Amino acid sequence: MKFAVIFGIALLFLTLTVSPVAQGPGQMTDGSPVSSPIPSKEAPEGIERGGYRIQQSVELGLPVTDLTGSVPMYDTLVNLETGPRILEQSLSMQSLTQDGLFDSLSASSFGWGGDPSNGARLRAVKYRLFNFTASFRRDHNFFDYDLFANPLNPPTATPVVNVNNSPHAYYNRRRMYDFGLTLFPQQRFSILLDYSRNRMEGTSFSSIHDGTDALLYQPLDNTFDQYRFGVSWKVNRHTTANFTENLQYSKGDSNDFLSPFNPVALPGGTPVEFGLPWFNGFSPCATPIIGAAANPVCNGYFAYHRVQRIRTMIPTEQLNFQSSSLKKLDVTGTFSYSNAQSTSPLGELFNGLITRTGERQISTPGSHSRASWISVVTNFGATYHISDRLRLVDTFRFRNYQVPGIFDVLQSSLFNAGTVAPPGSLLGPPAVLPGTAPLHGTSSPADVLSNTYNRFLGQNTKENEVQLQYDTSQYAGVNIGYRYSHVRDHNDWTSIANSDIFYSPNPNRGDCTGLPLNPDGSCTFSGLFDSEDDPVIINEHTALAGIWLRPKQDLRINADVEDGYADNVRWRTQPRHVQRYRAQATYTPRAWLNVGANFNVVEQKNNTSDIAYRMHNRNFGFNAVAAPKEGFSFDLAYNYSAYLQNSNICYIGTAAASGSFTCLYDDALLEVLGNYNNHTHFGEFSVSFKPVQWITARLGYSITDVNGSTLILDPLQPLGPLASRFQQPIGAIDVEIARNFTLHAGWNYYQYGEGSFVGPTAPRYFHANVATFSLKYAF
Amino acid sequence: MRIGKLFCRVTLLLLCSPAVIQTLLADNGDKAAGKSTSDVAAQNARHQEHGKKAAKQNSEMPGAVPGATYVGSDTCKNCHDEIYSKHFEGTPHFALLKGGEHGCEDCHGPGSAHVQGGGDKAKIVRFSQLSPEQASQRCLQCHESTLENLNFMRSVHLKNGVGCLGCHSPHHSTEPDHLLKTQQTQLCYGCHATQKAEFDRPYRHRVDLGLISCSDCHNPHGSFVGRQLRSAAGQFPVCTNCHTETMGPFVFEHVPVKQEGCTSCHTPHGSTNPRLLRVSQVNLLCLQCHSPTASGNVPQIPSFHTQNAKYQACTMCHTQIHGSNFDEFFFR
Repeated sequence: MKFAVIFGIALLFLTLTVSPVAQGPGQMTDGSPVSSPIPSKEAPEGIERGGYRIQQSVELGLPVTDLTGSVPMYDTLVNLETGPRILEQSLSMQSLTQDGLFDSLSASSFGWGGDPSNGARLRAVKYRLFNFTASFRRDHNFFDYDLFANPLNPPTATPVVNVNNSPHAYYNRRRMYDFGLTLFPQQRFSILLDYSRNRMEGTSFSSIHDGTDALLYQPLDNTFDQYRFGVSWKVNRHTTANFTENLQYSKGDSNDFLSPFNPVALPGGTPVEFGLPWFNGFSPCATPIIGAAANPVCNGYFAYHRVQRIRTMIPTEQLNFQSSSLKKLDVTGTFSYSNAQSTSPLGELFNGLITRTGERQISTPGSHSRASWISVVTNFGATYHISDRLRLVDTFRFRNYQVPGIFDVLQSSLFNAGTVAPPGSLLGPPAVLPGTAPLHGTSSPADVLSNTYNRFLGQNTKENEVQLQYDTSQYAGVNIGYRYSHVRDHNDWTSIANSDIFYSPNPNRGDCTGLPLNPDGSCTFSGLFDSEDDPVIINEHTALAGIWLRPKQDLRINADVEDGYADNVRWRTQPRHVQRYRAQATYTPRAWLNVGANFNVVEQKNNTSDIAYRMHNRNFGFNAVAAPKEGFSFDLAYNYSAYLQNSNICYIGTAAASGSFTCLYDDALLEVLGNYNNHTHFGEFSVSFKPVQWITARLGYSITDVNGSTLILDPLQPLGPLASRFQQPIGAIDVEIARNFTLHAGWNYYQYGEGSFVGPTAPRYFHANVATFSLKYAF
Repeated sequence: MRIGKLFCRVTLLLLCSPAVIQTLLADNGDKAAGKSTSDVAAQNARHQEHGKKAAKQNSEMPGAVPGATYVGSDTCKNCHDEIYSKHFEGTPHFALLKGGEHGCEDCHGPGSAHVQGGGDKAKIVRFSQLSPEQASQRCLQCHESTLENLNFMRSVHLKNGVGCLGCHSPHHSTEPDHLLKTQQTQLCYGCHATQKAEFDRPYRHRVDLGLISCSDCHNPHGSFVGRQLRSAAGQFPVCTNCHTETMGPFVFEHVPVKQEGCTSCHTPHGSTNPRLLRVSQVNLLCLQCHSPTASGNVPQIPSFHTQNAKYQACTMCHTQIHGSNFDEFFFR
């Protein structure tokens, strides 16, 4: 944070040292809806000083927010608050003589003072000596969509407990710092030095499943540092080789604690957390409240704590080359080797009751995991120019990665004393061995568990794509091609019990059923208890074709199609048949008018009868930007998207969805077509005009309207975002009050609402007015 | 990290120090004022020397005028003064002219025939008359050697008739960096209008706010990965460059994340669904894979996961859905 402040102050300082100031290209700011491009303003002339042409701007403002409705939803989608801001700042310095420290410098920043996103960028170039870039970006992320991970507790439960915030809400900040320096960029040897940091920290919530599901408070602190060193060698005028060494180091720290959600008091007054789901009959138990007190024979938590410290080191070496030295042949290639090593201890403590197993306390002292990946990538591309207009392009990709991992778990479980009635009680303390006979049921796990989980995931991909590209003239070209890929996935695992000890009473339970007892009356189980080796091989063939047309300088059209077939799939939502159709056109019939249209369709299917997977994403749109006369411009756009993702699913539910039948491969389940069908309309327009020379006014509006249908297995589940509307009208006025000074007043309106019933949680509707007043100084 | 911070602080202090800037500006001003005609003559001489070396190479380029030789940029300026002074000086290309390279003729070809023909347009390379590939070949003479550009000749953009000049304007750029025709996001939206609509959805990556840009994830100059995507270390999905917590490696990988990528569950640009999910209900997304099949290579849901009870939100329990180091069911 301190560094971000320094960086921001430095940029501002840089801005102010070169006064006076002006408008630069910078970021969006001034109250326009995010969808609307700001009508381009005439670039200011700037000033010439010291051999540089300088343009600069700074805009100070005050947004004022008035919100009605759901605060969590507003913060999730918009999150603009009242307070003073440096809305935008920019600086551009172009050398006129190329004799200074740099030939070009540009710096811009936005959002300082409390916006959810803000950033700063700096680039300084001395074309023959160095290219330096730096950026800082901060992203305040608030997420609380209350249907997400919500158990949707029914209003028939006793008591009724609504979950009004998402159990997985978070309020995190991500800060990204990037610095890059290229030395001698146009020389025979150039050097690349990069450093970047990505840090995410903040408050988040999660949940844990031990008997019932408890809400966890989970402060996060993840840091990712990356160092890159590279050398580029221009072997000759047409051949270059590059080597880069990339070192990444990741730290992921999280501490999870029980977060109070709906604590209830046991007889005697001790509070216990019964968790998020409240369903009569089974969760947290059949009758959670007896009289006015918590039922002690219920799944519940007194405490939970988990500490994770994940450390990952990822060195990657990469070699690239490119050459067009050979007549008619261009080649390019990449080879990279990456070997990641990750380690993490696990410290976990559960104190409560799991009625299914009778466990009262669980701890995992000394548990530890190690995982790695080894990734080898080779890419090679060649373009053979058969003639000036005809070329053959071949691309070969080879990738092999392996992800082995080991988790050594040491777990100790404590139970109530054997004198407590099964399945145990929250009122009874955990019995400590030796001395007290524990309460073991038939489903109780080992008292002491030492297991090793070995996992391996691998993939080997070979892909070749060949294309024949022909430019019929400078006005048109066509291409046809064929892509073949061979993928071998490998997923296998073994789970081994090193020494699982089942103490008396009832030691012959679980994996110890039928095994001989130890002299002390306990039972020890060792050996393999789970394994699988699951390779999948997929061959895929794809035909490609495309065309581009530029019949006139102001008209461009291009279209391409793909049709692919795979002989196998890894899982159910992977297609055997893929088709893509894409076309787009842009036309500028007048210098002041630009229109465009696009068509983008993806069709996927797997007709295997038990799966019946079908997906499509059909997208159509057009847009226009016009500035028919000075001081007047407008733009508009419309886009329609139809997204469908269907496949048969098997499920269990107390109420069968319409059309359900017995699952083909499991009689205990029902099968039905799981459909998701989304129609999204997007529309946007904005208009800008100058009623008088010194006033610019803008009006705009954008809307995303969603409707559709989906399989709903829980009648309490609302359609939610599948029947929603997000609208963002704007109005703004800029008044040039003096030379280089512009006063701005803007109004943004945000409205989000869902059309279906709310469900057993808080409504997700808001509307907000954000008025922004600012002063911009630019030259 | 400490070294990185120190490095950045020193650089910024150097750049931001008023003393440095004042000195720098004064120094440049003096030099600008004192630029002599002999400097210009020497510059022209260097340029012509370079021109001789380059003449043969340029004659092999598409659109070259046979027999033409170099005349030097100052000759061009005699007639094209406006474009020279307003749209060439101050550009990166002009900055390199000082070294005797990248004059007008490095891009437009030797100009002697054009001059002798009284400005005959047919005797000079005009980019409007070249195909996108031919025009791009001229740019790539110098620009192909960078890591960023080395795949351009086989890029999707070029295949679709979008050459260098589709996005860059050497003479009329309004952007301070990379000679882009206009600000990057608007430039991309000019053709990719679908993506513009996607970035306006309620849940989206904040491209329109300027927090990230298209080129953070895509390399417009081509890559070996589909959709011109960049990739993270080990050629894993580019998403993990920012969403590092999903990168792994994990002991218990959620297999599709590694094998298929993030887009098996998420739509990357924007979505009408929370967390950029492809469908509105998490449990439907899960069940579309985790239902029994003949091959049985995906674990199916247990028979007690009643969908109209607490189990309707799979990720309420399976919280570590991208991968876990401690639990094969992604509970922790």
